[in-house]
Amino acid sequence: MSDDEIRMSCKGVDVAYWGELAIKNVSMDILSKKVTAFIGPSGCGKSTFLRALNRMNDTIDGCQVTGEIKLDGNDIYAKGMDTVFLRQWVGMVFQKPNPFPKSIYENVAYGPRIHGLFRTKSELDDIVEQSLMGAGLWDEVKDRLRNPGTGLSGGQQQRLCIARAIAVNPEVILMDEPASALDPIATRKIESLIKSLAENYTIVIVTHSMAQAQRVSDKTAFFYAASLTEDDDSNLIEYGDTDQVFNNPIDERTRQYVEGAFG
Amino acid sequence: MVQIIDPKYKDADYQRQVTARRRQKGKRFQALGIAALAVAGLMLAALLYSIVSNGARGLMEDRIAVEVYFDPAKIDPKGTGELSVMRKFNYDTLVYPTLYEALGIKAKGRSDRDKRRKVKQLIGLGASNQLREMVVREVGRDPISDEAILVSGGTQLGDTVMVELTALSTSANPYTQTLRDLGMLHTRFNGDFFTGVNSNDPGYYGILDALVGSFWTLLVCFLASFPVAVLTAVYLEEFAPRNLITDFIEVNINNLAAVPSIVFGLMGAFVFIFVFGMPGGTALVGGLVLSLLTLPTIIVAARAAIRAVPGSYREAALGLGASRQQAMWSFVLPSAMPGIITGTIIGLAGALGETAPLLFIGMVGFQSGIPLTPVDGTPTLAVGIYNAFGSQFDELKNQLSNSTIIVLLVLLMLLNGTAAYLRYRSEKRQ
Ligand SMILES: Nc1ncnc2c1ncn2[C@@H]1O[C@H](COP(=O)(O)OP(=O)(O)OP(=O)(O)O)[C@@H](O)[C@H]1O
Ligand SMILES: [Mg+2]
Repeated sequence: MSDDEIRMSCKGVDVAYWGELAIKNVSMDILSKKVTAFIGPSGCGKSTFLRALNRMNDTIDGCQVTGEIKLDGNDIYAKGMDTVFLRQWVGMVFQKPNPFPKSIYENVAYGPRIHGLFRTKSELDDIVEQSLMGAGLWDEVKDRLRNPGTGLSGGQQQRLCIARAIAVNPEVILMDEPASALDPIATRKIESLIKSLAENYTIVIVTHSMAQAQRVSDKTAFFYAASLTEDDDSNLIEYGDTDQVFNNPIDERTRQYVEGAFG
Repeated sequence: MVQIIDPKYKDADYQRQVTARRRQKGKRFQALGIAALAVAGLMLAALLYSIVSNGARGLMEDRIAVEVYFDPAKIDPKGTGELSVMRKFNYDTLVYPTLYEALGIKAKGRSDRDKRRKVKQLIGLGASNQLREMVVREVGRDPISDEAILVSGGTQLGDTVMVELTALSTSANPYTQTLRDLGMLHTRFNGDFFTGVNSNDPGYYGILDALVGSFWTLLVCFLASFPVAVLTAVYLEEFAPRNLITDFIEVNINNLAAVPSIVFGLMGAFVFIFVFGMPGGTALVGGLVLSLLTLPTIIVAARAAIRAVPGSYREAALGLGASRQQAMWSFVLPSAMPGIITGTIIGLAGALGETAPLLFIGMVGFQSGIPLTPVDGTPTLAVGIYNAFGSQFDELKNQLSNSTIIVLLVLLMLLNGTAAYLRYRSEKRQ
C-alpha cells in the first residue's frame, strides 16, 4: 500500500440548502489511513461537506448535492448506490455524544446486528470486545456491559460512539467536532485515540481547535463561507499538509485564521 | 465608555421599588393559583362525598329472614301438579302473612290497609322470582313450539323453608327497626352487586354483566384503535411527504377529535349494524364505535411523543447504516412508547366512561346474562350507571347508581395507575 493512496475523491462538489450554496465547487482527495482536518470559521460549510461524504444530507429538507464524490472509485451519489450499504463503509461520529438508550453492549452490537455481520453469539461478543478495545474503553466498561450507555461520562460516551462506529468495520470515519463537548483530559484521550485509529481507518475530522488540528491531522482543509467567496471559484480556500497549512499558508485568509486562533 | 443605562435606574431605592413590585405581582399570582386550586378541590370533594355516601350504602343490603310455607292450596288450588300452573303464582304473597303476624298487623280488614301496604313495599319482584325459582325453573325454550321448558326447583308444595330475601326501601319504612329488633332483618355486604346482573328489581341488581361487557368493549376498542393510531402517527411523523393530501388528513384527524360522541353512535348503528350486519348491542360494535373516539386521542399523543424523541437517536442509527424504518422501530418508537401509552390510556379511560353512543347501538343491557364473548349483547359500566338509576327516582336505585360510579372510578384509577407504572418502568429502563 503506497503512502498516499486515495480513499475518497471529490470533484466539483456543490451543496445547496434551498438553492443557496453552502459548499461551492470543492474538489479534494482524501487519503487512505490519514487524518484529514476540516477547519474554518463558523458557518463556512464544514459540517455540510462532511455529511456529503456519507450522504447524511439526504434526510435534510432542501439539501441538494451535485458534483462527484467517489469512494474507492465508486460514485456514492450514483443511482444504484444504497445509503445503507455506503454507511457501512463510511461511518460517522457526532459532535454531541449520542449513545442509544440501551446497554453498552447493545450500543456496540447495533450496527453488526442490522447489517448481519455475525452468526453466533460468541462472534458478536468478540466484535463488541474488539470495538471497545479499539476505542480504548474496554477496561473501563468490561464489568458493566449490561449497564445503560447513557450512564457513562461524556468522554466515555463519545468513545462508546466511536466503538459503535468501528463495530461495522468501516473504511472511513467522519467525526464532526468529536471533542468539543468534552473537558481537556477527555479531549486528549479522544485525540490519541484518533491517532491510533488512523493506523487502520481513514479519518476526517471537523475541529475548531487549531491545536487539535495540528496534534492529530496529517492533512488540513481550510474552508471559507461560500457567500463571502464570490471572487473565488471555490470556498475550499486551501488544502495541503497540516504542517504547510499552519506554518506556511499560501492564502492570506488562511494565515489570518490560523494565526488569529493562536493569538 | 458609553453610558447605556441612565444612572437613576441603577439607584438602590429605585431598584428596591422594582423588586417590591415584582414580589407583589408574584404573590398575587400565587394567591390566585391557591384560590383556583381550592375551588377545584372543593368541587371534587363535594362530588366524591355525594358519590361515596350514597354509593357505600348501595354496597350494603338489608335482608329479611322469614319462614315460608309453600301452601299447595294457594299455589296449585286445583291440585293439577302442573309446573306451568305453579309458575303463574305470585310468590311474594306467601311471605306477607308471616310478616303481618310478626308485626301484629291484621291480615284482613280496612283498618290496617295502609300498614299492609308499607310491609308490601319491603318485598320486590326479585323476591317473588327467587321464591318461584325454588319451585319451578325455566331452563330454555322448545325450538318448535317456543314453549318454556320447565323443571322442578327442588322445593315441593307443602314444604316450609327458611328463606332470606332482599328488602327494599328499608330506610324509609316504619317497620324496618321492629323487624331488626325481632331478628328478622339484618344488614350485610351486597354480594349480589358484584355477582348479579342487570335487573329491574333493585334488590337483585348486579354489575357483573356490565363489568365483563366493559372489559370486552375496551379490549375491542384497544385492538381496533391502538395499531391503527400508532401506524398513522409513525407514518405522518416520519415518512409522509408534506403535501395537500397529508395536510388534509391531518386536519381531519383533529376534526375527528372534536366530533360529539353521539354522532359516532349514530354512524356506528348505521355502518356496523345496518351495513355490515354486526350484532347490535354487543361489545364488538361498541368497541368499534369507541375506537373512533380513541383514535384521534392516541394519534395526537403518539405524534407528540414521536416528535419529542431526541433527533440524535435517529441520526446515530442512520449514521450506522440503519434504514429509516429500522431507526423508527429500534429507537424512535421505543423512546416514544411511554407517551404513546399515556395517550392510549387516556383515550381508553374516556371510552370507559362513554354512554350516549352505546345507547344508540343498543347496549342497553336487558339481556340479563354475563357476556361470554364480545358478540353477546351486554351493557357497560357507564351504561350500568344509567340502568341502575332507572326511569324514576328511588332511593335504592340511586344508591346502586352511585355504587356503580364508585366501581367505575376505581377502574379509572387502576387504569391511570397502570399508565403511571408503565411510564415509570420504561423511563427507568432508558
Ligand atoms: N439544515 C439546514 N438548512 C438550511 N441551511 C443550513 C442547514 N444546515 C446548515 N445550513 C447553512 O449552511 C451553511 C453551512 O453550515 P454548516 O453547518 O455546514 O457550517 P459549519 O462550518 O459546520 O459551522 P460550525 O463550525 O458552526 O459548525 C450555514 O450558512 C448554515 O446556515
Ligand atoms: Mg458544524
